[in-house]
Amino acid sequence: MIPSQLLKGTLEGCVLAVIRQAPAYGYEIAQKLAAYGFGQIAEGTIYPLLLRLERSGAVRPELRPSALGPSRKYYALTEGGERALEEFIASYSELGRAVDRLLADTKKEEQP
Amino acid sequence: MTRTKRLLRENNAFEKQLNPEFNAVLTDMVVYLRSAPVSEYNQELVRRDLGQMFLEAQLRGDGPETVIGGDYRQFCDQVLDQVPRLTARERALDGLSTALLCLAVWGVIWLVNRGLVTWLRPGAVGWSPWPALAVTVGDLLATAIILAAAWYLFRSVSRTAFSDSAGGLLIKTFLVLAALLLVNRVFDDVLLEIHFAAALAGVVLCFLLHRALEHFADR
Repeated sequence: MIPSQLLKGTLEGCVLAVIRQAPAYGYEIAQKLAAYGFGQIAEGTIYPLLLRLERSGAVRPELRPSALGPSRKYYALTEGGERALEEFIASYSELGRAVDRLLADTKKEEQP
Repeated sequence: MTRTKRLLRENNAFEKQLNPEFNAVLTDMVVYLRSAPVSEYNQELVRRDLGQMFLEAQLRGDGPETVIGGDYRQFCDQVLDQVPRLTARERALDGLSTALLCLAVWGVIWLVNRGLVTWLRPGAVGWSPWPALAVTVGDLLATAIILAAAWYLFRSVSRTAFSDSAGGLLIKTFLVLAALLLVNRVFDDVLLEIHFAAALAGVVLCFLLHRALEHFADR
């Protein structure tokens, strides 16, 4: 289980990445993230995030009928969203490399 | 019909499909959202999203806590952070629109009450020969108290939507009613007399101005 504080800064980028694969609705996004190993993320966590992405123009909502019941609000990536995702990928890769280097050195120091 | 009213009706109809558990949580959330400085249209958009989310969860067999994650108030605050806020001018117009509606409703109650006094109890406090209606100092004070109390009680209900404070609210309501009775008893000096038609026109004007502001805000 990934601690929520650790997840906080990266969840927005991860949601963008899920939406880039295909337009998706809140619960579907949570399920896909769970399948990638993020653990169970409540829709209540995803929804405010989607509102923020919608407000910033990164995603575009669209109501589509559902065979199961109510219409679903699908979110698709916009051009702005594509750019935001590219920026996230670049920033996260840089962070990942930095953390990897630091942890590698920490491990070396731990070894006798 | 304004787009807000249309969405409101759709949401009211939609919510009937929710079971009591989801309905209770959604009602608390909507009550909490109502006092936020966001437009009624945006409140209804959020309400529609939540209703759809809840209905789908209900069909899956999940509960509200699974969907929201437990802390409903924190969730609502996070949602409100992402909804466009009303500007100071929009808030002022919204407040004016609500006050005009309250005045129109109160005006109808006052007209019926004072009309009945005039017709049925000649010589009683606040009596004037028909078609004149007496306006007492108590009437004006009661109007001010009602407007202030309506605003205060609405805020109280909204802010405590997720806590069980029905007892406190009941006491506040009784205090307001007691204050109304008191001012009507004590301040019964007739301030002026107005023609019934003029009073009725005032009430209609308040309502029409409210509707005009409502349409203006809905654009």
